[in-house]
Amino acid sequence: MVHLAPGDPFGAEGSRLTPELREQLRVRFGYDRPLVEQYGRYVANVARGELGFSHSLQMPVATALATAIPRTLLLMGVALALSFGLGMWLGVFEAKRRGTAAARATNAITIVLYSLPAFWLGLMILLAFAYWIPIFPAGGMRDVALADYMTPGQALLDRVKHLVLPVLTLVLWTGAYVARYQRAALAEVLPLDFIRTARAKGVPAHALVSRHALRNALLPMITLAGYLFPYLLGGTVVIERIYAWPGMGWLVTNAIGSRDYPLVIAAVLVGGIMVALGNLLADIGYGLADPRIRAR
Amino acid sequence: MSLIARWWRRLAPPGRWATAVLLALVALAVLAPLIARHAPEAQLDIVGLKSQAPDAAHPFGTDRYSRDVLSRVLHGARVTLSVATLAVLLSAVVGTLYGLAAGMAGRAVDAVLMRTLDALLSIPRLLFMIALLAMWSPVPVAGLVLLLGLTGWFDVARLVRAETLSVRELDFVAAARSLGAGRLRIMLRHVLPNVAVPVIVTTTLGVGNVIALEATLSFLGIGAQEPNASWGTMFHEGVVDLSGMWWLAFFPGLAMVTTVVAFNVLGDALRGVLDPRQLERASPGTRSAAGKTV
Amino acid sequence: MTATLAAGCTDRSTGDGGDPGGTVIIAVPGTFTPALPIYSVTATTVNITSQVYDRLATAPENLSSFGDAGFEPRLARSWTWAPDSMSIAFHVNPDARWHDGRPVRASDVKFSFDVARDPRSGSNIAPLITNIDSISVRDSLTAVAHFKSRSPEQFYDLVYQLYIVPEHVLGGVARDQLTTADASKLLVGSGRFRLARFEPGARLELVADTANYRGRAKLDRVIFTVAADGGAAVAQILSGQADVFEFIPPDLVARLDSNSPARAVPFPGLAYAYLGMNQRAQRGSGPHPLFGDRAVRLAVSMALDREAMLRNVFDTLGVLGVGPYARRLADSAVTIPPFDRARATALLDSAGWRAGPNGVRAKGGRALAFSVMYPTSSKPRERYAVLIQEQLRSIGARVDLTAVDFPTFQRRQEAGEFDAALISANPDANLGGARQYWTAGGMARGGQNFVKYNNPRFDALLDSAVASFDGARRRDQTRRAWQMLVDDAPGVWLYDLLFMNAVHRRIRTTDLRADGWWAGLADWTIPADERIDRDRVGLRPAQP
Repeated sequence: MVHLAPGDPFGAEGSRLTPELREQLRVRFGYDRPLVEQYGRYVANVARGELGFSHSLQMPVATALATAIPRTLLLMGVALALSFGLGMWLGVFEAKRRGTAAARATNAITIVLYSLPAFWLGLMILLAFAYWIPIFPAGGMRDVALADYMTPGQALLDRVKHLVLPVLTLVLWTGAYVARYQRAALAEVLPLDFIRTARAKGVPAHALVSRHALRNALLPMITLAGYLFPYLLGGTVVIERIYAWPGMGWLVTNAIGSRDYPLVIAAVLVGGIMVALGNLLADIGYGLADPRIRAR
Repeated sequence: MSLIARWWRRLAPPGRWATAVLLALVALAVLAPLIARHAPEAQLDIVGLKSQAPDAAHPFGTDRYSRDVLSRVLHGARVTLSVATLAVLLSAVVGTLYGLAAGMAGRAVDAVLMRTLDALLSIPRLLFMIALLAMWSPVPVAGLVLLLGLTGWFDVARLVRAETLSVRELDFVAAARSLGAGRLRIMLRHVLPNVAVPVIVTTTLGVGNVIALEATLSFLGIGAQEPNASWGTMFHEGVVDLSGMWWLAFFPGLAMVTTVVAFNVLGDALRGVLDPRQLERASPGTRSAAGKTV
Repeated sequence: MTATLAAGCTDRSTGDGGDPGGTVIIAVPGTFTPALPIYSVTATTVNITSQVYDRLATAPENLSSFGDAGFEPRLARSWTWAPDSMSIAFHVNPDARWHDGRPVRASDVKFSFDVARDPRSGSNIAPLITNIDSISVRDSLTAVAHFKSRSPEQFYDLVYQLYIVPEHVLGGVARDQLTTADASKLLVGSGRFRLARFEPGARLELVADTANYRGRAKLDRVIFTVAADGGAAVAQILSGQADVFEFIPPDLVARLDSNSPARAVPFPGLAYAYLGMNQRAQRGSGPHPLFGDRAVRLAVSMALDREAMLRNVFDTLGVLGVGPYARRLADSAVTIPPFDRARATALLDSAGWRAGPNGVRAKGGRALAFSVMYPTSSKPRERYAVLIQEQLRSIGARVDLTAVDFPTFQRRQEAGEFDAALISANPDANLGGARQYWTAGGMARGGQNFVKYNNPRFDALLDSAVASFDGARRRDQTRRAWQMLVDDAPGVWLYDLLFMNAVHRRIRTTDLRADGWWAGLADWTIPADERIDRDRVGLRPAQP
């Protein structure tokens, strides 16, 4: 696939490489072999854990990814937890107050938040809180100069400050998705017979939701976690770009500009694996949580 | 005709508003060449009319090349809407075919097809598209539609497959077959009407997603290109000037958000039009496909 | 004595900083990687190189390349010309040390030259040092450079291009592996800053070399930090997170008002930008079907309202192009084609380009349609491209824009795979540098004659000007050569790259040089009473 793009990776170096040198590099990295052999070699290498060499960063791809992935996971992890919390709370809130003005307003807000592209939301938030009212840093992961000279307490505060805006963007964006999903799940459960029975018995509305309906609506939420991974990953890639957060998304968007194919492929591979793992975990979680499956 | 009338009556007010908004948008987009005062790429006066804030002559202001933003938003609507609807239609067609095939096939083939589907679902869509488009840059509009369409059919496939499977078991199907009717014809006659409405709902909700996705790709510079600038392309050009020239991002953003919200509201409302039990054919213990497009 | 001599020559700080100290943070839009001196091409890597490494001597402020007048000692504390000027003996400063403590020796000078010249290393300065035959070692502190011919620029050629690198660090690396070697592990120099840390994609930290032979730098550390793009870098400047940003865009200069923590500092450069028209066909070896014809090139030149485009892109901060050189080096007697659309259309008419049905001219079945290529890394060039596209529509030409990433732009530029391209040239001040851009010699690999301008009479005039030891004759020949070139209109001279840096107010800079605003970075100071948190860190090591 990468060979369909114009220009071989060493052609990108331009005047830095003489033709003799370029030829040497091509042979060394195997770009002169037939495509099939290259592919075979690549797969074999990946199996061994050898992901190639990034010529734009001048280091092995694995090293570059190894430092970047934890940062993306940090961002995604915090965002995932908070957006789940926010989304579920919103969904339950809407279900409890069904028909009221508050529920309608919340519904409208969630629809709008859900409809915004992540990049636009990120841009607006960056504009608002880093440019116009500069209370948060305009990107990056930690203070550029002082990060290594801070006490652990100061360092923690610094990290948190840099996390706020990207996480806020992701939480609002993903939280809306979760809220709608939660609301739909509850909407499916609430009309069911056992709820109507409980209501006839006189159980108050809010208890109906939290005690009876929620437990059943929780199962689909575990499924949601599985779907959420690729969704969140896509959002994180763009957010990392806007906030210069040095994770996988940042690496990938830069690597594409410099035609650093090994890095691009490896990053997409890793992204796919992360998502597959997430799905697997969701499957396991679902299996554990659903009594019907457990009983089997 | 009466079907549509029935639906309209059952459509909640938000859905009706959304339909009205969308029809207006489509009308504006179609009539853009007539309504827009200037050509979208015309540079009116690169020294005197550069970066003007909105005023009477240019209600949405001008950009740094002295192009009228209102005209560009109107023309951008054509690109954004056509790319999104075509892509979503392509997804619907591909998904339906795939779902039919999986539902009609034997156990083994079905299992393979569904495992493949699961695998494809796990690929992060944006990352994948970034990787492909960056290498294909600049991409023609047709290519963009193709890529967007070919990466969004998974939910439709699941829906159609579920419906196909249940129709398969019905008695009259076996009866019809014994009378010599072709399998495919039967499935089409019985599956398609049942599956049409859920597919329409999914598709409507999908348009919003595709608009946002295309805008993101164009924002990154690898989506729609000039002279076929979409709303997202306008962001790509305007993002550097954001703090000083708010109108460059505000108006395309407003247009985009309005459109996507309208599609999502309409999709929600359409779902309410249907018998909710028609949506969920999978047994309670399995994953709900509809959840993905929420 | 050497230390005071050096201090006296280089101390140009406009204000006494008192104790040395302070941290300067330079915001860089996009990622970067440090490179060895023979590979430094981009502005950031050249900056880093010049802090970490030294040359034998440094060129004078006026950038004269004539002889050795005005050059000041660096690693060479003095030099002696042979009577026949075919060789120069450089006496290495005995106090000079590499950052790992080893002394700098003449053998390092010889090694540096050999590596730069070796085709296996693929260095990009090789074509610029062709006049030097070899460097030999007379004793441990004396290196002798042997030249192939005398020329007024022979001293400049050697001294200006060659940074001295340590043999004991780089000698162990095979020459053909140098380009892929991890430069961050090999960056050992003799400069007043040394490499402290490099975090790819995030930042690079230089720290003052306290035992340096020229005296320690007046700053403690310089940090290059990566920002997402220009906008993010500006945000860092405006919020005080970063101290310096080079080439701040004109629209944002207005934001550096008295309330902002940084001020705008303009400085001169030698770079200029032009719309180059490829005179050779992309495929095959014949002339370009459109731009092989001088009439077309002239018509394009006269159809563009360069002044209006300049105002649009740069507001009041632009410097209009006057020819294939920066304005400060221009000869006012040389005149370029004026903006005259009527004449442009008349030229095309008489050359046989008839207007077609859709407004696009055609001749002999071929439409007046071509692509303009530009790198996505340059916002001004992107803007010019859009403006040019629309302006040329008025004379019946259809222009497509080809935006490519910078590495691809460089490659296609070199390979001649373009019709027209927005090229930025950054020549050295000397005439010999002009050869790289406009003579037949510049068409070879490593040259900068991308449009394949080929005029033997121009080459001859330039050659004799370069070799001439007579100032008046030199000027006259140069003038005639340039006029010949601009009459041929190989490109449209658009603008000089005017550099405007944003610099934090607390920083006292030295005078900024045209060949590198960073040259005096080691002498920038921060007054003690204006220091902020990050300046007080000092030289203590990090505890990450």
